[in-house]
Amino acid sequence: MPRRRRYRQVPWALPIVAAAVLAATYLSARPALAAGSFTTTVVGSAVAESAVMPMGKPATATIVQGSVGLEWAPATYGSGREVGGYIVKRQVLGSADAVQVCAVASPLRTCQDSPPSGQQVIYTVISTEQLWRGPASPPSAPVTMPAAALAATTVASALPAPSPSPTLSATPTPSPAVTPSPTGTASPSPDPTPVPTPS
Amino acid sequence: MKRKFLISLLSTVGILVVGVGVAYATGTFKANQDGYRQAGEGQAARLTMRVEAGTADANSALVPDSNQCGVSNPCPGGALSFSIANTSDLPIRVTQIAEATAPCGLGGQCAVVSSNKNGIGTFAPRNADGTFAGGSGGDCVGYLVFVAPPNFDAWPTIGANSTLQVNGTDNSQLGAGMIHLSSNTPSGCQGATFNVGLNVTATEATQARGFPPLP
Repeated sequence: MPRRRRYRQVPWALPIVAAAVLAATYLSARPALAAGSFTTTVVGSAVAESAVMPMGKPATATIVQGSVGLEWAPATYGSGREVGGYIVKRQVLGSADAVQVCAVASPLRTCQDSPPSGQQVIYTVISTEQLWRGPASPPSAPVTMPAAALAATTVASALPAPSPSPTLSATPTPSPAVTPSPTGTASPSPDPTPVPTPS
Repeated sequence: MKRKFLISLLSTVGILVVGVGVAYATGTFKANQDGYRQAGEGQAARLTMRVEAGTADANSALVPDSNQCGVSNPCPGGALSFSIANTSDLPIRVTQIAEATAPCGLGGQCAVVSSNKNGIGTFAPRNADGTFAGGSGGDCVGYLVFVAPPNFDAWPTIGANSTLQVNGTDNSQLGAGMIHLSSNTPSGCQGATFNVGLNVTATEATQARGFPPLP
């Protein structure tokens, strides 16, 4: 092909190349334009319901080494999730007053208490979640801390160091303590009357 | 020779101008079709959907957030229950969910939320038509925190004329953790029902991203 003829064809190649580039660009951009081009926003509503604290499970009270050991089963929501923590309250049997003896975070479900000796006490467990409180569990079986056990605990805790030989025995505190009671029956003894002696 | 070259140059410029013009006009036309799609045979198919509240879960685990929660160990919160009904003839994908707001106060915007209980455990009074007398109902709503999903990668494509149920119970737990209660929520807010207004944005799903469209 003569060089002059080839040179004449070059100008017509420009529009052809431009059209091809445009077509390719448009075709490649078309899917991107189509994807996500159509968007809509609507207003609706949703609903949710907060949980209700489950009732605590009754505690099992056991007297162990001078204190009452308490343990209980987990309390769970309807979803199966355990509550965040527990509060244990002690109540003297027959009394309406209850005192909090411990508060633990789950999964801990045990605690210890040292109730006053000689009294029947019961324990209730309350499930907690931050400020939320559930209903109290049924009461535990009543337990009575024996005075001897409490004294043993006192003696043991007063020792400076544990003794290798158990020579120290717990000496029971006399209970009930003997207290002098003012009895009004005691009558003053009559004054001794001089007995006349024969001289 | 020079005249031919000039004609060629002018033709090139003309093609470029016409091409760019057509592309610009097409893009503008498409952009103005927000919510609509020009379907084949000259019929316009509207992209529509409906968002409705679901049923509150009585076994919900929505409890106050712990003080120990943080970025590394976020509190689980609770699930919002709602449905997204795709009422159009095109598959759609959810791209954004935000809390709906309404004008309140002096030029402010308030979240459209309500609760049926007060922190002291009483129920909020209702009007005869069922709406709350105080607008948003009980004060338990003040402890509510809405958390939008961080992304929608796990949200499936909603097929044409299909409905997606969102309640936190499916395998992807869609909707879980979208609602929280602050740690100081009073005990009286146990068992409270919360209504949350939502702005749901969806886009036409031209191709599924690893998830087949719902039947």
